[in-house]
Amino acid sequence: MDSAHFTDDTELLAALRTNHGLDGAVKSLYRAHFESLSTYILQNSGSRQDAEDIFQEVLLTFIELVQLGKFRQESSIRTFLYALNRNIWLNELKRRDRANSREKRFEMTRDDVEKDVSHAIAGREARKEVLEILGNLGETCSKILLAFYYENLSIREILKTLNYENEQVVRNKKYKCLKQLADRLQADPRLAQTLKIALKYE
Amino acid sequence: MNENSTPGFLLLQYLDGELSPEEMARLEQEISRDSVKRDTLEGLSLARQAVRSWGLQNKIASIHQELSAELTWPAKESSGSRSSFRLYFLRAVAALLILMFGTLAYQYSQVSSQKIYGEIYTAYELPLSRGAANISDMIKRFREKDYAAVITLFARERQASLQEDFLAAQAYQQTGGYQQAISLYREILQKDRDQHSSQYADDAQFYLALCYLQLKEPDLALPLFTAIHQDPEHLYHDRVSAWQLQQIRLLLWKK
Repeated sequence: MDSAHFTDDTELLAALRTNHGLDGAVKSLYRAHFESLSTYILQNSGSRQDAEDIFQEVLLTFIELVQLGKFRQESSIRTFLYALNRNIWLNELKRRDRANSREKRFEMTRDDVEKDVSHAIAGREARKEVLEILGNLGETCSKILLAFYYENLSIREILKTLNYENEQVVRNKKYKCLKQLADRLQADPRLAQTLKIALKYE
Repeated sequence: MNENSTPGFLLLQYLDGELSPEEMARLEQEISRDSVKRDTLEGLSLARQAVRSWGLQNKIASIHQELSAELTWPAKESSGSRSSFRLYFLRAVAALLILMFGTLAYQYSQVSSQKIYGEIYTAYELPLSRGAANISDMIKRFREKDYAAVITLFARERQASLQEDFLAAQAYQQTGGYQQAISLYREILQKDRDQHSSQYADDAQFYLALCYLQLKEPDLALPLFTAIHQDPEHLYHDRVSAWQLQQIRLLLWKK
């Protein structure tokens, strides 16, 4: 579904949980919330680029929480995204060492919505490091891993897009690529632990 | 090396759901006994999750690219119209204040006792007495505007009347003798009070105020002019406006 029309939060959340409805749901979130969330960034020392980057981070964190069943709907999507946006941006400002007294005061008044995602925010740096590792795996590894683990394509479907002899070769290549990433994570326990918390994987 | 013979490969197949139920059960028993296998499993599991996250991030980025042309940005002047209205309002107030102060400053620089005196002053008109046979010399001289003669005649009077006092005061005022005029006006006002009359009260009050103004005594002139302005029945009410009172107040600041 590539529609931007969802009648309520429940419908939108259901679409986010499936690959089939994801595109439409993400577009809907963009149209509904981008301007208001970017306003906050721009009003708080951020540039347009910052607003774009942070919004993507907000959506990424939110969708993963939804897909892991961690979004409990105790607040509306709008409220939750706003809190995520605020926290991620404040975290970024702290990282850039631009915290001022207003932001520090805000830090001390976190509510429950923000506590839920504090781990995700804390793992921002870990994500960035891992993404760099993934980017260095090479084009073929990226293709195979994303096709299998994100797009949920079968080995047979992936074989059609690659110049390999058979499915076993693709399977072997998939393992080697993922093992590279796993070994890099195992070599850095701090990174692995932070990423584990950030992704809330099970 | 054949990857599919390594323990790690089998563990990945386990995670990817590619083993038969029997193979899964056998491997789970091995995992429970082998910490190395557990660590490897955990590492591969984390790596899978990282890839999924990476894929989602790429997907969001591509949708962002697709929508970038239609994304709307807030107006630069902050939270929409509220701040811009506040800014416009402040600018308007500032402009108004500058205009007000500029006007006041100009008035301040331009205001003078002589100027206000000239605006307020009106010559005293002796009322005509029809059929009066004996019009005094003083009155004749006054009507002829021979103020020096009026003063001379007044000086000879042993017991001047209120009218003679007033004409003499006027003559002094016309010839620049303001201090003498002030003394006479004040005497007239005292006599009026003593005799419970108001024959020349309004006139004396008005011209007394003018003399104070001429002598650059706005603090003495202001209360008299204020009383004249506030009394609609006063003979000279129309000569003193609120604007002129404001001008006299400016003179006070200057002093």
